[in-house]
Amino acid sequence: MRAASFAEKLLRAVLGKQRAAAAIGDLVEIGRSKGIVWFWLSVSGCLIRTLWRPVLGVVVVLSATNWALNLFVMTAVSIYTKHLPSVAWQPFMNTVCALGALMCGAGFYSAICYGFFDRFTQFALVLLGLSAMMVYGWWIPGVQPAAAVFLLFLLAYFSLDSERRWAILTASIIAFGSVLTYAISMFVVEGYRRHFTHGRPTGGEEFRAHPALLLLAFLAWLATAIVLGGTCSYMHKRFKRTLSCTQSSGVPE
Amino acid sequence: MDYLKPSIDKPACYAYIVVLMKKPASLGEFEQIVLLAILRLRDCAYGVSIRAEIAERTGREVTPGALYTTLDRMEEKDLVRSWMGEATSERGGRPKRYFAVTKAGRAALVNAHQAYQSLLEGLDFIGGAHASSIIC
Repeated sequence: MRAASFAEKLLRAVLGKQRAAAAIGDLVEIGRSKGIVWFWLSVSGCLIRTLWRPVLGVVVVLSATNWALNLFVMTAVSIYTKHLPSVAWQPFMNTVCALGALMCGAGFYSAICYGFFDRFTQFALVLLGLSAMMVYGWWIPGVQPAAAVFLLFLLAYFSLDSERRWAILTASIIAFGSVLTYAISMFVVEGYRRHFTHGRPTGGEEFRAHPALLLLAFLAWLATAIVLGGTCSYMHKRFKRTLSCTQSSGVPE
Repeated sequence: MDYLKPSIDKPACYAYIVVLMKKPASLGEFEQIVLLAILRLRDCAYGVSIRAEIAERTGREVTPGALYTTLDRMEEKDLVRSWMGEATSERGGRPKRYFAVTKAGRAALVNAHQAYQSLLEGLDFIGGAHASSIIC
C-alpha cells in the first residue's frame, strides 16, 4: 500500500490527480497476482511513455536554440564587419536572430511532441525559415521587403481559423516568456560573473577557476528551454480542452 | 438568370460541405484493437477490463503504460471519452476510469474497417487458395 501511495504521487506529477489514481488503482488490482516487480515495472513504463517526448524535446530545444543562435549571430557579426550597416540595423537584426533561434527550438519541440501536421509546428518552422532568409540575405535588394510582405501574408493566412490564430498566440507567448526567462537568468549569471571576475571579460581561465559560472550559464539555458517547452505543452493542452468543450457543447453525442 | 447563380453561397451549404470534407481520423492497429475492446465491453470498459479483453481475444499481453498512453491520445483526438467511476477496496480505495467510444471514434473504426474490406475484396484471403500460399 505504501508502494502504491508513493507510485501515485510520482504519476500524479505527470498524469494529474484523477488519472494517476485510476491508473494506480488498475495496477493494484492487476498487481495482486503479478507481484511487486511487475507493479514497479508498469509504473516505470507509464512514466517513461508519458515523459520521453517532453524530455527529448527539452534536450533538442537546448541544442537547436544554441546552434541556431550561434549560426545567426556569427552571420550577423560577419555582416556588420563586412558591410558596416547603420546602427539602427543592429538591434533589429539581433531581434531577428533571437526570434529565429527561439522558433527553431519551439518548432523542433512541437514537432517531437505533436508532429509536423500541428499548426504551431508549421508556424514556428516557417518563422525560422523567414528569419534565416532575413539574416542570410539582408543585403540583397528586395529581400527585406519580400520578407515583410511574406510575414504579412503569413499572419493573414494564420488568422483564418481558430487553430491558426492559436498558433500565432502560442508563438507570441513563447517568445515573450522565453526572452523574459533568459533575461532574468542571464541577469543573475552576470551578477555572479562580475562578483568573481571583478568586471573583467570572462575567458577559459575564469571558467577553469570558477566552474560554477559554466554551470550557471547552462542552467540559464535550461530554464529558458523548460519555459519554452512548458509553455508550448500548456498552450496545446489548453487549446485541445477549449476545442473539446466547444465540440461537446455544439454537437450533441 | 437567377438559376445560374450557384446555390453554394448559403451558410447551410457551407456547413454541409465542411461536414462532408471532414475525414474521420486514421487509426493505427493498436488503436483499432482498443476501440473494439471498449465497444465489446459496453459500460464496464476500464483499464483492467480492456486489458483483459484484449488478452482474451487477441492473445496479446498489453503493458499498462502502452494502454494508458493510447487511451489518453485517443481521448485528446476525441475518439473516446472517459469519466471516473466508483472506488473499490480491492483497488486500495481508488476510482475506476471508464471509457466509451465517441461518434468520431465509431466513424474512424467504420472507415478503417471499410478500408480493410476494400483491400480484402476478391482475395479470398481467409481459408481460400491465397491463405495456404501466403502461410507457406
